[in-house]
Amino acid sequence: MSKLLSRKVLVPTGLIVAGLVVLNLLPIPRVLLPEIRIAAEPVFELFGFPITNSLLAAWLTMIVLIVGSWAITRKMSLVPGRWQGFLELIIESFYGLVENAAGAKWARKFFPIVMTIFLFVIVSNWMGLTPLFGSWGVLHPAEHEGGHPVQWLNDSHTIGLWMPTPTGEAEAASHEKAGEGYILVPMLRAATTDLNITLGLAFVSVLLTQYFGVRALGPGYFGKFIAVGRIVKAFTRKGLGCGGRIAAFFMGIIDLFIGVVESISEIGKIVSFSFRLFGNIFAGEVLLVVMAFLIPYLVSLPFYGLEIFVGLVQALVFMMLTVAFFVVAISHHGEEEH
Amino acid sequence: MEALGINLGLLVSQIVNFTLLALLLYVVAYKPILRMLDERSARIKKGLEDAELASRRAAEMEQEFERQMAEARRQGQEIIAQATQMSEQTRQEILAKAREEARAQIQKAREEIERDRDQAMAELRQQVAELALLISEKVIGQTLDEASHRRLIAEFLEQTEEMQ
Repeated sequence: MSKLLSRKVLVPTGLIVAGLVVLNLLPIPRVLLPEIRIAAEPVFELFGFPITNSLLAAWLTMIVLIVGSWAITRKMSLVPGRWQGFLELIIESFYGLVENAAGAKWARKFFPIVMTIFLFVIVSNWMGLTPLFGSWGVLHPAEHEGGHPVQWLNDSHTIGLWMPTPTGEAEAASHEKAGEGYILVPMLRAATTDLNITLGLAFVSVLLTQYFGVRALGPGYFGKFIAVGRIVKAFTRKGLGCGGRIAAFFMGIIDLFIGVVESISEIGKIVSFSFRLFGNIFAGEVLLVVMAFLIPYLVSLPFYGLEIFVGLVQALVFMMLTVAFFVVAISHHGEEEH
Repeated sequence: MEALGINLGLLVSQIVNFTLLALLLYVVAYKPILRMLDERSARIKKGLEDAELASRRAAEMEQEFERQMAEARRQGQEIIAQATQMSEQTRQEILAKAREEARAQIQKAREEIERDRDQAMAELRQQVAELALLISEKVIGQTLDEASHRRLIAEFLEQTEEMQ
């Protein structure tokens, strides 16, 4: 208790509280709480195909990654510069990681996929934290309550600032009811906060798991899911007594059941992959928006640090789980040994 | 599904995007970087091997140098020893020759002296005989015939010589 009341704690706390009070008293525009929607919003249509803000962000992520890598590897030298060294460090350490898990032979095949997953996820996550995301976009007239007035910056009302209600809540409410409120559809939204994108990555991961399984084990890979081997053996194997056959048959039934469980778990992987990433990053964005809405300055700073960390961890988790599933798929499962 | 915003078109587009990204990154990042890493590690390995080879060669050369130095030193010593021996021999030879020559000359000189002395003695004897003849002629006044006289003197001289 005495430690909590010491000067070291009290002085900074007092300063922060005083700062927050002053900030709230100053006539700084409040941060508006945007409408939080789970689905990514279409910004415009291209040949009838809706282009969502998260898809734009995904394209931006791809462009950043490809152009960045191209710029770095354009002029490679044996004595690396800073950028080349940086990229080499990342690629070398992850390659080592994959090689440790999968062995030298399979690492060459796994690496491009899992590295791309990692890079895409981390760059998306981190770019989503920049002010470029969520802060600008297309203004739509609000269809129901929840819109905010717009201060137009030009006469033709094409560019405007989304403003907090200038005079009292009551008047604002009347404005909104009158349909004068606007909602903002951000032009960019972190790619990983769209389930389509995380689901796409999960599909890639799980489908490639099956692909590598077949590559390594041949069609026998699917014996994991349709486990009829033991039942067939129960009838065909010579030298088994009647009791032995019945025992083997029931073991075979258990195998069949395990096969069904395995199949379900593959589908479960898709769901857990996509929702884990989506949930973490989307929740982080919501947290940051709400924090900024409650207290506009300073307080969201620690949460930004947290989100940077979460973004890294989620990228690593997605990548490492994919590697682990690949490795499980290429390794022999126990059936052949019986 | 609608509430979650899941849309088949967007899903497929993301799978296509990912495939494209993986391919392009493979071309612009993974392949060149992994190749560069391999190249560098090969270069470093080669460098280390070269360094080891060079140091081994240097050690060999130093050994060879040492060996040759020892050989040269040994040969030098040998040559010096040989030269010393040879000079000693030459000195001995020269000395011997000089001694021999000296002895020969001394011998020659001695022989000459002896010959001179013999000659002088012979001459002296002759003169003494003649003198004695003269003196005896004067003293005795008579002359024995010269031949017997000479015989007498010769006998006398021989006696004196024997007495000597």
